Amino acid sequence: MRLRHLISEPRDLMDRCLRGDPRAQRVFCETYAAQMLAVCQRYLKTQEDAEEVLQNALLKALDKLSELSNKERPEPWLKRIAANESLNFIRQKRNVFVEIDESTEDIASSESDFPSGFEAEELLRLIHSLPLGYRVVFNLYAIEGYEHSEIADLLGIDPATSRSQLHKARKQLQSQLRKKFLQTR
Amino acid sequence: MENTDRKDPVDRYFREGLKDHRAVVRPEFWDRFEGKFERKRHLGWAKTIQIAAGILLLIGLGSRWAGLWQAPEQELAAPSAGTQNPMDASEKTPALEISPRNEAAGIPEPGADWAKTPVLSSAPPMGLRPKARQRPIRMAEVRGNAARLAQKSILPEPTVDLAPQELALLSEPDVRLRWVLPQAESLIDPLIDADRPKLPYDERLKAYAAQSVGQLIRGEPLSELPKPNLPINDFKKPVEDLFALGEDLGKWFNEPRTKPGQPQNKP
Repeated sequence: MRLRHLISEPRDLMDRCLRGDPRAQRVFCETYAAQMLAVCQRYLKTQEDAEEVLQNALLKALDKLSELSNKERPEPWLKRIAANESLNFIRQKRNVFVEIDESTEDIASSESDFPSGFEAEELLRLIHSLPLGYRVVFNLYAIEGYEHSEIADLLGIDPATSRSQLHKARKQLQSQLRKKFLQTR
Repeated sequence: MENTDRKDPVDRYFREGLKDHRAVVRPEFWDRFEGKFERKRHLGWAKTIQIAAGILLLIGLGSRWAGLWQAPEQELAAPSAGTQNPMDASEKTPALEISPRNEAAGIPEPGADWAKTPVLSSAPPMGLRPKARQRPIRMAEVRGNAARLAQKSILPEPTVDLAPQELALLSEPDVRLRWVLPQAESLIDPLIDADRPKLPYDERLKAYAAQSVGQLIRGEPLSELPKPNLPINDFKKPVEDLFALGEDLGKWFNEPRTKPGQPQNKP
C-alpha cells in the first residue's frame, strides 16, 4: 500500500482512520487482517466462513475505533472483535452450545508427551477436528484467556457446562497429540 | 481452580503454538472487501446526510412551533394572505373579528358590563386551526372593536344629484324613491346569501341598515337579522343603534317640512 510507509506509528494510523481518511482505513485493514483472520480460523472450519467474518470484523473495528483505548497496541482489541464476530456467526448458523454429559476421566499428561515443532496449521487442524461446542470453549478459555464465568455469559450457558466442554476438548486434543507423537517417534 | 487450569499442558501447548500465528489473506478477499468497504462508506455519507436533514427538519419545526407561541399579536393584526385557508378573500373575517365559535367560549350577554367581564379563556374551540388555538382573546380589543363599530356612521351618505331648489320641490315619496330605496336596493344583494357572508362586517352592517330603512319606509316588517360572522352579542348593540336611527329617519320623513328648499335629508 502506497501510504503504508508514511504511517509508521499505529497511533498515527488510528488518528487518520478516525478522521475518516479512506486510504488510512485501507492500510489499517491490510495491517491487521492477517492477525484477525487467524482468530476467525480457530473458530470456523472453512476459509470462506472465516473471510466472511473477517470482513464484518474489519468494518466493525473501523466503526468502533473511537472506543479503542490503547491506540499504541490495538491487537488485543482487534482479536476480541474477531472472536466476537466469529461467535456471532456461529450463533446465527445454529445453536451449538448444548449441555453435554460429563464423564471426567482425567488423563495425566505433560508437554513432553506432545510432538515438538508442530506448525500452527497443524494445531489448527487439530482444533478444527473438535466438535463445535468444544472448539469454541477451548479457544475462548485456552487461547483467548477468558474465564468460565465470562464464557458462560458470552455463550449463554452454565459455567459448569463451559468447564465440562473444556475438559472434553482437552481430552480429545490430548489423545490426538499422543497419536501424532507416537507416529513421529 | 482457574489458576491450576491455566497451567494445563494442552492449553499451554496450543497457546504457545498459535501465539504468533498469522493467516494468509487471499487476494480475492480484498476484491470482495473493497466492494463492501465502499458501500459502507457511501452508506456512512447517506446516514450523515439523513441525520443532517433530520436535524434541519427538527429545527424548522421547532422554530415554527416557537413562532406559534410568540407572535399571536401580529397574526391578530394581520391575518395571513391565505396560504393555509383557501377561502375566498371576501369571506375572510377582519383582523379583530371574533369567530362565532368563540361565542361558546364566553362572550358576554347583551347589556353585560364589559369591564366586569373576565378575560376569555384561550382554550382551543373544537375544529379550529392550531394557529387559531394559540390566539388569545383580548377583551380590551373586543371592547374597542365594538365601540368603534357602534360609533361608525353606518348609514350611506346621501348623494342626491339635485340642486337645492329641485330638492325643495320633491315630495316625500320622491325622496324615498330617489334616494333611500336605490341606496338600500344596491346594498341588499350581498345579503341574499346570508349564510356565506361576502362582505366585511361593517359593509354588511351598512347594507342591513339600508335594507332596514327601506323596509321601515315601506312599512314592511323588518327582515330577519342576517347571520353574522361575528358573535351575536357584538352584533346586536350596533344593530339596536341602527334601529333607533331607522326609527328617527322614519319619523323625519313623516314630519312636516319646516323650511322649504332644504332637503334635511340627514337625521
